[in-house]
Amino acid sequence: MISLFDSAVTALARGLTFASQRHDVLAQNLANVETPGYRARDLVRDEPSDMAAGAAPPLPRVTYSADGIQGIGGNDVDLERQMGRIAENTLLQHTLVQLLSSQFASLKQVISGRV
Amino acid sequence: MGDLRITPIAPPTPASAASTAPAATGDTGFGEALSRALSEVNEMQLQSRDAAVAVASGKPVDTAQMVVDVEKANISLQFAVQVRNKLLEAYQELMRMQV
Amino acid sequence: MDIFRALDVSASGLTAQRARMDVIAENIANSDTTVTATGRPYQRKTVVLRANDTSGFDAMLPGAKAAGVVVDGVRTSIDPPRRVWQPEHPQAGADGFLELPNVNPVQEMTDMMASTRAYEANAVAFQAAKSLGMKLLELLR
Repeated sequence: MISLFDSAVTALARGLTFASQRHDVLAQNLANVETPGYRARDLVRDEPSDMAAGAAPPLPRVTYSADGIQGIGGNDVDLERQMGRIAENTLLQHTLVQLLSSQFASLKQVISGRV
Repeated sequence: MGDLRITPIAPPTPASAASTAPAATGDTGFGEALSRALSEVNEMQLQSRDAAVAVASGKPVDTAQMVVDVEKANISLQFAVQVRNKLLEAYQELMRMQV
Repeated sequence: MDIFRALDVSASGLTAQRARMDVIAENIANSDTTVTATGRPYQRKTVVLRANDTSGFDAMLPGAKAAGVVVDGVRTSIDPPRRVWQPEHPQAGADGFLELPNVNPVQEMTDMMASTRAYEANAVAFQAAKSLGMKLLELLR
């Protein structure tokens, strides 16, 4: 069976998974914006040397994102910066979904011959 | 009965397929033009695929350029599909003709 | 599933902030209550919050249980009440001082604003997660 789906679809799916995991971490930051002693976190991924090579990329890891500002009781969640990160991440998610959708639409078009 | 000259029917050449292929090489056979156009479509598909993979892996990407690349690839693919459909129709029409 | 967990996390944030707002409202309402059921003046209450990390850091990776924030309970302040010189008040002590609740309205209002801001932020995160879920479903159409 010839592969209908090239590496772009795999890469997009992986990107989407990462983005939705990152949203979980950022949402956890927001939920704990008033919790004493809570340190803000973020999900990062190491840049793979060749994303489309087919080998599994390294797992993303959770790091402390040092926002710097120490709030009451040692909580260092900077609300505005977290909101900025969430907005950027949401935009990435929407972009990836659009790209995926257009990949599938192209395929369907070519298969059905109907434009 | 007068002089009936039957000339061979030239296959239909979609005008734009010929215009996308540069005629500089001098070899403007229909097959050549078509294969050149198809390889251009393929180029655009590859470019759009590279842009999508770059966004997915988090590399900094020029969003405007990416959107333009993806759209160009989509439109040129749609166009190629239409050309194929027309060619198929013309071929079937030809086959239906009674000799 | 990732999408539902994001919703759970944001929902727990909303619940926690709502609990905080309730307690702040109670503090403000009782800022002049000289006698409660215990016979003493009203004491300021605060909500105790705890980050719900199931197993430390790696809980954030897929497969871990839902996280978020947990309301551990409501703590009553043990600070001494405010003392005001008001000998004519029926509840004033023998020394003429009236004991009033240790509620500072300015601090309560500031806390209320912070809590409202946090509530709105959690609501935005909730919406973002929900809209992504809907967009993904559209792919199937």
